[in-house]
Amino acid sequence: MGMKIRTAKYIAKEGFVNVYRNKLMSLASVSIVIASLLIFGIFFVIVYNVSYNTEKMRQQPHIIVFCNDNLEDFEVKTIGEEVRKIEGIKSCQLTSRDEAFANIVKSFGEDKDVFEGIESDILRQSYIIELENIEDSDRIIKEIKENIYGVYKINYSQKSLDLMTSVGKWMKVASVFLIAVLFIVSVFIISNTIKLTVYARRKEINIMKYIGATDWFIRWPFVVEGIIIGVIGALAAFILTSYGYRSVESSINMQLAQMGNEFIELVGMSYMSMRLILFYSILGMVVGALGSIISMRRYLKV
Amino acid sequence: MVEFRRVYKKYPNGTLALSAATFHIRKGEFVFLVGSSGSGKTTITKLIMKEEDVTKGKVFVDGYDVSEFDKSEIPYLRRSLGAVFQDFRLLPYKTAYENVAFAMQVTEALPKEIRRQVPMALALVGLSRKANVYPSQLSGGEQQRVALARAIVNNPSLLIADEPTGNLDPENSWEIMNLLCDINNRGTTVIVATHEKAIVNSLKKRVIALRRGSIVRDEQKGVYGDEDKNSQVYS
Ligand SMILES: Nc1ncnc2c1ncn2[C@@H]1O[C@H](COP(=O)(O)OP(=O)(O)OP(=O)(O)O)[C@@H](O)[C@H]1O
Ligand SMILES: [Mg+2]
Repeated sequence: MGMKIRTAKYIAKEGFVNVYRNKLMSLASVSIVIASLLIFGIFFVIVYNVSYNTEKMRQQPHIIVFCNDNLEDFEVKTIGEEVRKIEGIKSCQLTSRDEAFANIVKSFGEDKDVFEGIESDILRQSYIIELENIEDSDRIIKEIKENIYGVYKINYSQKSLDLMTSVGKWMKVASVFLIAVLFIVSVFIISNTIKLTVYARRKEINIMKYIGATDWFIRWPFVVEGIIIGVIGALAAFILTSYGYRSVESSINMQLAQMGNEFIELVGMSYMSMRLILFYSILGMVVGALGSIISMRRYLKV
Repeated sequence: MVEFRRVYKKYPNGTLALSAATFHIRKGEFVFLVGSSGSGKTTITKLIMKEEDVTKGKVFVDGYDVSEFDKSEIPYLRRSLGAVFQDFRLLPYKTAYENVAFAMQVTEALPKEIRRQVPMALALVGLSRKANVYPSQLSGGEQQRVALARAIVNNPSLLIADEPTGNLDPENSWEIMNLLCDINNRGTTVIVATHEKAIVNSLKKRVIALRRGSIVRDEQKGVYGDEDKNSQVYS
C-alpha cells in the first residue's frame, strides 16, 4: 500500500487534531493506558530484578561465612586460613565490622543520621568466598560446617539461586498471562472510548465514504489518534514508574543489606529505563492502534 | 452509462423496494426519477453507488457490472461518480473550499491540481466569494451548491442527485436545478430523484416514474404525472 507523503501528512495532522479536539476522551483513554501499563510495569520490574539477580549469582558463585561474635581476632583469622585450604576456592576475603557497617550506612544515603550512636560491633565479621565453580558449593559448605570452628552461619548462593530461578520462572509465566489478560482488557476499554469519538463522527465517516475515500484513508487518522494516546500514556507511565521505583529502590536495598544479604540487590533504574520505555511504548502503541481499528469496524460498512 | 436489467431489490426486512426495474441511461442524458415516497428512487441511487447490493438482475455503470466490484474497489467506483443529497452532507469543520478540496484529497490528487480545480468548481456554482466560509454560516441553497461543487470537482462522468432540493425553498430549488442542467450541458450524465412537480414539468427532460418498486413510465420530455395521487406527500 503505497501512501503519498501528502496523504501521510494529512493523516498525521488529522490524528493530532482529533486527540486535541476530543480532549476529554483522550484524557480518559490515556488514563486507562497509564493504569494498565503501571500494572504491566510492576511485573516487568519484578521479573527484571529476579532475572538480573539470578544471572548475577550465576556469574559470581559465592558463599558467605559469618563468624561467631565472641571470637578473638586470631580465631577469625584462622577461619580464613582454613577456608583457603579447601579445594575450589577462588578467593576469600574478610569483611570487617567497620566495612559492613559503612556499607549499610552508605546504602541509607541521606538518612544516615539514624545510625548515630550505634556501634559497628553489633555486626558480625564475615568472609566472602568466591568459588571457582558453582557446582562445588554443596561440597565446600559441607566441609566448612564439619571442619571449621567458630562459624555462626553460612549463606550460599546456590540456595538462593535455586529459589530465584523457580520464582523467576513462575513470575514470567504469571506476567505473560497477566499481560495477555490486561492487554485484552485495555484494548477493549480503549476501543470503547474511541468508539464514542467514532460514533460522534459517524456522519463524517459516512461522507468520506460517499466521496470515495478508502477504508484505510478513513481509518488511519483514528489509528494515529490511538497511537498518540498510547505514546502519551507510555511516557506518563514511564515517568511514574521511574519516580516510584527510585523511591523504593534505595530503601529496599538498604533493608536487604541489613538482613545480611550481600548479593541480592535491586537494579538501578537507569539499567532498566531503555527496556522499560521500549516495552511501554510498544504496548501503548499497539493497544491504542488496535483499540482504534476495532472501534471503527462497524462504521466502515457503508 | 447506467443500465438496469430486470433488477430486484429486497431489503433484509423483506421489503421489496424494486421489482424487475429495467432502463438504460445513455451518456450525456438528464433523467428525473419520480414517484411517491417509498416507490424506490433512493434505492436506485444506492444500487448505482453500490451502497446496497442487487438481489436479482444486473446493474451496469459505465459498462461495468457493479456486482462484480470487490468491496475494496467501491471507493474507486464512487470517485467516478458525483453525488448530492437532500441533507447536503458537508463536513462542518471544513470551509466551503476545504470541503470541495477534500474530495480531491481523498483521491490523493496533486496539490497543484487541487488549487486549480477547486476554485473552478466553486466558480461554476457561483460561490467563489464564500470559499472561506463554514457550512454553518451558509444558507441551505449555498450549502447545496458547495455539495454540488464537491460532486463535480473530480470531473465525474455521472452525477446522482437524490432530492437535492428537498430542503430548499422554490427559488433555491430552481437555482440548483438550473445548475444541474448546466453541469449536464457540459457533458456529465445527470440523474435526479425528485418530488419537484413544477420543475420536472417545465424542464421537459426524460422522466422515469416509479410506483411501488416498478417502473410505470419512461418517456423523453416527460412530465411528473399522477402515479402517486393516492399519497399526496409533497405538492
Ligand atoms: N435500509 C432499508 N431497509 C429496509 N427497507 C428499506 C430500506 N431502505 C428503504 N426501504 C424501503 O424500501 C422502499 C423504497 O424506499 P426508497 O428509499 O427507495 O424510496 P424513495 O422513493 O426514495 O422514497 P422517498 O421519496 O420518501 O425518498 C420503501 O418501502 C422503504 O421503506
Ligand atoms: Mg428517497
